[in-house]
Amino acid sequence: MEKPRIGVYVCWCGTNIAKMVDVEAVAEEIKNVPNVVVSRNYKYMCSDPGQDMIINDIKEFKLNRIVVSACSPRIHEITFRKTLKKAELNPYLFQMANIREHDSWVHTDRAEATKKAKALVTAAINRINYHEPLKELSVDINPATLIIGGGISGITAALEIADADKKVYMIEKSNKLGGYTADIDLTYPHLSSVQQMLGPMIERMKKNKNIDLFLETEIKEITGYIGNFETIITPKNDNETKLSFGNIVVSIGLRSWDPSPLENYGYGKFPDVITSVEFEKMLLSGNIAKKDGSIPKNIAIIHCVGSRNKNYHEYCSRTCCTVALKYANQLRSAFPNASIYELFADMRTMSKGCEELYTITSRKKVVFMMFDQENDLPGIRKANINDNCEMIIELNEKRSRKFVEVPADMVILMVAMEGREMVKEVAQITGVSLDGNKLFIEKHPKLDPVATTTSGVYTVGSCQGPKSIPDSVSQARAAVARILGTIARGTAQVAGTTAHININICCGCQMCISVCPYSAISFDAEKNVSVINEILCQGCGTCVALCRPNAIDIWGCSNRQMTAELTALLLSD
Amino acid sequence: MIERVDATLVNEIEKFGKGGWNDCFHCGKCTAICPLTEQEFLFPRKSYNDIQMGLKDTLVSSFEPWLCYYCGDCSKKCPRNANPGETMMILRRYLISVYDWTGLAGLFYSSLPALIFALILVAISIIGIGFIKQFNTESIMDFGHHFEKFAILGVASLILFPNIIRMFWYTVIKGKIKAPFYAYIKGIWDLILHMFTQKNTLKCEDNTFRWFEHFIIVIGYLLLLFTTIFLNWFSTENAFIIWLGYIVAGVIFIFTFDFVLGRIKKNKEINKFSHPTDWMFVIWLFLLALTAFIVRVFIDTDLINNNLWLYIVHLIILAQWAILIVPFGKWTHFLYRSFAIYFAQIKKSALIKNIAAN
Amino acid sequence: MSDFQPKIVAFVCTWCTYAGADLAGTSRIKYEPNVKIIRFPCTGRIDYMFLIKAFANGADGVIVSGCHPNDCHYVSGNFHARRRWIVFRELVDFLGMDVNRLCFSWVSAAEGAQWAKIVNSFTEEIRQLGPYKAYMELVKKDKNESVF
Repeated sequence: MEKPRIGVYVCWCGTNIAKMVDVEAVAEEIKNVPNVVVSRNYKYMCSDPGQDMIINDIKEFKLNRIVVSACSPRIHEITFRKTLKKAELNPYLFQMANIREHDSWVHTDRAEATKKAKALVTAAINRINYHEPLKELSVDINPATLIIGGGISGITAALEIADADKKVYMIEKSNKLGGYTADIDLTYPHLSSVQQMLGPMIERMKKNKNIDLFLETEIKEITGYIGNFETIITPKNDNETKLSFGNIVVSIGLRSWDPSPLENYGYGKFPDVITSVEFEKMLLSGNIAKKDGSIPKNIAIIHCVGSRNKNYHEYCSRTCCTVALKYANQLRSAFPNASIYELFADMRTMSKGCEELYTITSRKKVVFMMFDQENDLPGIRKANINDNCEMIIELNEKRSRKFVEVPADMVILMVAMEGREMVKEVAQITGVSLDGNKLFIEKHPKLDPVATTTSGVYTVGSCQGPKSIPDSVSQARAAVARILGTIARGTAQVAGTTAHININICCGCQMCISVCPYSAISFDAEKNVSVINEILCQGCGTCVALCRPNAIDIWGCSNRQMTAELTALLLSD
Repeated sequence: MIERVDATLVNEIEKFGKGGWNDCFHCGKCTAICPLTEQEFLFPRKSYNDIQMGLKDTLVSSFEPWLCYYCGDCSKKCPRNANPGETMMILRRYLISVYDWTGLAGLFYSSLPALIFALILVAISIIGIGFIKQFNTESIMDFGHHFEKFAILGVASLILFPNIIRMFWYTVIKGKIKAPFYAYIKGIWDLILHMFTQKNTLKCEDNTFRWFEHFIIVIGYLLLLFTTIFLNWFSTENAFIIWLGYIVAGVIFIFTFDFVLGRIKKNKEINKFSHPTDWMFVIWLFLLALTAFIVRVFIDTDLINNNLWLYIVHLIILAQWAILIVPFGKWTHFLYRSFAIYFAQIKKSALIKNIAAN
Repeated sequence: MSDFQPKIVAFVCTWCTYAGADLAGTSRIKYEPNVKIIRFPCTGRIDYMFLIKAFANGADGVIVSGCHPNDCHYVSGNFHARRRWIVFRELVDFLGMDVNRLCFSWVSAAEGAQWAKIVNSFTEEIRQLGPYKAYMELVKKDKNESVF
């Protein structure tokens, strides 16, 4: 192996790193580490000039190893690997030291943070001595796509893919398509009919030959990897079917929260306290009435029920404020003389046309009152006979700082959206992580919001975070663009970071075969050794740690590399 | 008793003018820039809240509308064009109707036909009296002179005084202001001072000329009353009194003419919106002074006997002014405003005392 | 002893705890600078010999952290890590090493605050225990200078 010639680049990340870490001192000091040829610091390594600097240095100084000390490798490892490729250097001869997320952003003492940065960079340099050029493996892409969940996002994705003449398998748990969208009367902010929009889409779904629809079907397990996934499903009244597909779209949406735990709202106790979902169905049926059939004179709409509340869901459910405004508009058209009250915590009408809807609504004699979501929620009690209404809402109005009573005959609770009951199973089956709120984690929150950390699996729509119809549809189309891109290419590159067996050491105990979750290891009885299928291997390394004679190692995370990193980390400290 | 929210109250207030309360989303800019708002009396935003939520008791017991002098800065700066200045004006009309025991103020403010009907009724009555007096110049002018005295006395004792008591009831008693008796004594000087000078207007920016005009009109108006009633301007021979009358009447119609022009031009924020009663107030005051001026000119030129109709026109305007506009219209502002400032000061000292006690 | 700055190494998986530590960073949660992270694809990859090597190179404490049970990106790597951990811990105890210098935890990609909490509390524990001199003495006894 040629002698390592290492280039080290310490990034300032503007002031993000430079503020807490003396980047110049770090770059200066590591010049003395063996094999370091070039050591530089620069404002933004990920910028074009930053990357060009690396490319030029590789050519000028004949560098064969690159260490970038910057943000998390989860953000820019791919960026710099591409830079190495451009400079005709194997992209795996690269290592990142994370001195932003794991250092400058979390520490307050500049001297300590600088010391830690030096240790992290030195460890990365020491480790990269043992990096080897790896080849990326190419896998064929099965052009079929599996879509889990037949709401508006799933339907959009299915139709887009099917229109491109590619196969779609649509798995839907319930007995109909449309999800929650199918229960919506009008959209906001334009108040146009959802049914007119969704109906033709569902018809197209049913008629399209490229779409195989499996209603009342659930998925138990998915095996394989990007381009080559497989599953066995048991559709209702049908035999077991084996499906093969190259990509997966998860669009299971969210469900509405049951507000019973918030006892102050008396859901379940008072017949005319209903959830937004129930009211939407009422609107769809065209008959807005109390449980006893009479027409409500005073209608109160309570926002943020279970959303933005530490005890239930800390996040904002995003659509409810504007939906509540839509309700006020629909109620005003239905009952020109009714008293309509909106009890809100904060009015959040983002998206195009929604703030305008708020303005329009406020001019329709809708009374807006604010409550303290954190400390003082409104409470509902039954009214007396001479109160001339069904219920009284006791409210500590935040703007006027006054305790007031709001008369109500019907109360609509704008309930939160939360993860579906089967979300954990779906997450496990598809290998996508969930965050603390049971929402799917995207690959990158800003730059890659539909992909996940598992190649070939995309999450779209509300299951990735509460969303409006246009946002869900945009995500579905974004995912489809990605999928069709991979299908068009026909192959996908998978990382070369796989395990490999030294057959001279392997004793044939076959322990590795029993732990491999991908069945990537088989036994060669003739030679009495285990053999690894590089395509199937995902590089988890469980077999490496387990191998008793130390016959298995893993590319990109070898024992030598890790030992070098570990010792340098401790000794340089 | 916890106050009940009422979405229908706006329908009632709407009768007194179109305010932008549905547009307000409580950014608070109006209160922030208002030169008159203070810690204890935050307006106009607070009043918006009371209107929107329909808190009738709070609204009726509030002084805030009276503390506003309508400089219009808030309306200029409002990001939603909710017109806070005009809303405070509308609230003043509403409050006048609440204080007024006869209910006529509310009727005249909310119904232009009713107001016109009342004006016609007064005019017919005056013509009727002229008819009874057989259109004799001397006896009609004598009647006119006595009418003025009785009208002032009657309006003050039968309408304005009871209404002030009602204001006291709604604001101080129902508003639960607990202040010692001496606080009421202490504030009397301020009450009189504010009543005649309305000096708070000066706290508004660039409002000095407007205040000056108002001040001159008030002084002129009071002097005109004094010269006609007590110095008997129309029948005096004293050259000083005659000239005094001419000057004050002239001053009034010149200045009111400027007001009318302002409302026509609408170049200032306060002039942008004119309720029929706003027009009526300036026009009637203008006509009152103008006709008085011309009547005296006709007396001095001995033309009055042949032109009695002129005096009857003046008397009709005077009667409409005294019976309809003074007790039920904008004229009462100067009275309610000064009392509101007086009560508000008492409330403020009670609040401060309360805070100190706790 | 309170101003003693212990050296601690954390062996974490890239999918959960490394991402969780990234989240602690993006959330700007402040914690002690003593813990330095080494990234592995999965806790199942972590050969516990690395832990011994860490002590041999002067670490005062070691953290192993990965995905919560059932959340493993590679399906079952964390279960293997857990099983191995139990055996390893007993072995360490048997050898006369201090098990209090080992910390095993689950930190998901969403638990940035939890990561900071673990770092702070474990740093404090090790700070109380002081430098791990006993291990070096153990090494010296063995003339071959290696326990593995």
